[in-house]
Amino acid sequence: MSKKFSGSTVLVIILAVCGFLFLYLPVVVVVMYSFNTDAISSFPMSGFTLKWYKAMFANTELIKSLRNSLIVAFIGTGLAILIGVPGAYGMYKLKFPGKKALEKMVILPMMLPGIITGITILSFLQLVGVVQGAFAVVLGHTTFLLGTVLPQVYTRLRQLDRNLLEASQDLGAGGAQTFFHVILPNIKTSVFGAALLSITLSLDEIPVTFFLNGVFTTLPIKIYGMTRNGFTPEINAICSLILLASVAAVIISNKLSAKEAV
Amino acid sequence: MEKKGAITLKNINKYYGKNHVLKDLDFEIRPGEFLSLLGPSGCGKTTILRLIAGLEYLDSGEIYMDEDRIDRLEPYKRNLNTVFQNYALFPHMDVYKNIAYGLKAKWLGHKEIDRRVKEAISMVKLEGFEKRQPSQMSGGQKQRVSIARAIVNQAPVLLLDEPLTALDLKLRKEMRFELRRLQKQLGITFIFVTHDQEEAIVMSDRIAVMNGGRIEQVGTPEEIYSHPASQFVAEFIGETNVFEAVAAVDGSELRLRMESGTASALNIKGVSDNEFVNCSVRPDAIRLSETPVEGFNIPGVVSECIFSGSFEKAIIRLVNDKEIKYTRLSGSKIPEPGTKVYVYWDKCDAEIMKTEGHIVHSQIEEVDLSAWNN
Repeated sequence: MSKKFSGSTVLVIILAVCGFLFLYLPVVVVVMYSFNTDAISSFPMSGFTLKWYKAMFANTELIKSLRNSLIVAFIGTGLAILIGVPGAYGMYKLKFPGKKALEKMVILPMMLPGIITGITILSFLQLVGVVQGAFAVVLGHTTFLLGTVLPQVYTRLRQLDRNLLEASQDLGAGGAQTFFHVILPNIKTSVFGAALLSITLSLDEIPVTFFLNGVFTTLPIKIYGMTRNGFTPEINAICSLILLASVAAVIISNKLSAKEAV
Repeated sequence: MEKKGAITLKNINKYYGKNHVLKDLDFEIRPGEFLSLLGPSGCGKTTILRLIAGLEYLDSGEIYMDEDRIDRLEPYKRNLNTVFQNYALFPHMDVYKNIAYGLKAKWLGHKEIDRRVKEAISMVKLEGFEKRQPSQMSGGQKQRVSIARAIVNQAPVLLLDEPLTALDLKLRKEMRFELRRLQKQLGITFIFVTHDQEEAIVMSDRIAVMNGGRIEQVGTPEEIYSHPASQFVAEFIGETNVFEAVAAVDGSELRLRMESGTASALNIKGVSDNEFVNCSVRPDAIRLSETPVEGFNIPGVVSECIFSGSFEKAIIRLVNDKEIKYTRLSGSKIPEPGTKVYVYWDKCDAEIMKTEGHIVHSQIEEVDLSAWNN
């Protein structure tokens, strides 16, 4: 069987390949250079080495900022889940005037430029007397992560048959019983997926953190600072590791959402 | 403990936005009866069920279960259960856990739960399906699970929201008898919402026919079929022929002047002279003769004969071009199309209904029948 492509099909394929290269070639280059023996980014590679990974792990400041980032990501995500899941459930369960408007408003933090979110949170925290530092960063991250957790969980809840909630009440289960025994088991994978996505988003967040961190340094801010004093292959190494973790998290998150949507 | 299960609705009003869906509803459901709420879609029958279950709030009125007022109680505090139209089984639980859910919610002991779940499973004939997930079951099986999940709680009232509509015809007919059997066996009140008049007639002790947020008539299936209280009921339950007429009182009888001729009926409802009425006659109560019968003069021509299994139907065209339906059991003699006939009926087979205020035909003129009589 012979395949014949028309001119327009060939054009589409070429454009698609270009688009794909444009997206992923830089990523491939970063991963490649993280194994390059030469400190100067040059092609072809002069040899294969793991020394940049060793150097990265030896860089205590870098590792400290990674630890800070992880702390912020996990606490921020935890808080966002604790507030966002009940919040989404309340929005789903209750009928109130302005519900439509609220549905649109909760995704606003996700749409707003980070710089706006950063400045608003900064001025608010100053108003209530929270100083810049770790605590402010955690609060800031919680706020913008809520904007991803709440809509994701809410979307999943809306796919849920409302009769399940009614059937549970009808069978004599109160609000808490219904939530833990009927609602949560049916949305748990989307909650987990939202948590994974939140962790990845938090780990590479700069604008909000930048306004709130004070002397508290997270990984992206540290990397940003390092690049200003010249680009070292250590950065390639840590970027490759973050990339690996992020891709894994996104794949797991997608798999879970797809599984639950059946 | 004596099981009761009477539901009393007092002066119920319900709005959806500006839409007045239930209008001053007053209605009593007797303990232990199989009551069907029957009506076209949008008549408010499901809303009544949801109000009783507590899944909607009343705008005004009161609901009582036996002597207790329940309309302010949360759904989980009401001693009744619902079978949902789409079953609403918990997808993450197997059959056993689905059925046990209500008992676990009441914190009963494991032994008691196990005994009652097994009893319910055997009542709906689902032995061996305990470990199945709802997604692995057919519609009919899911239906049984949802019924078992509701009756296992032994509440005195069961609400059923069109539970059979999603099933295929054969299964639907089987389930009618099973539900009826189950209701008698349990001795509890069933409130059954349906738009299928046949279903309601076959299953119910009493039927409440609803239209536009009101109850048009409550009665046994026999009463509703034979003595419909309104034109709507007459037309909704089975087929009927409705004649618009001007009445003249003649002793205990009525003489009816209609566009298509003259007829007679019994005056049971106290109709007065010159009142406009609707006269409903079922197709199986229509009689045909070759010559006019005393008290009747409705000439017509058989325009069509239809064979439909155990029945034969004919359409008879009257002088005002109105067509009426006529049915007989197959095998009985039906006149050929084209035959001239005179339509009449047994006077007690005609239901006279007063037309409430609105007069359909402002004038019903005397029709010149001489041309037909030749």
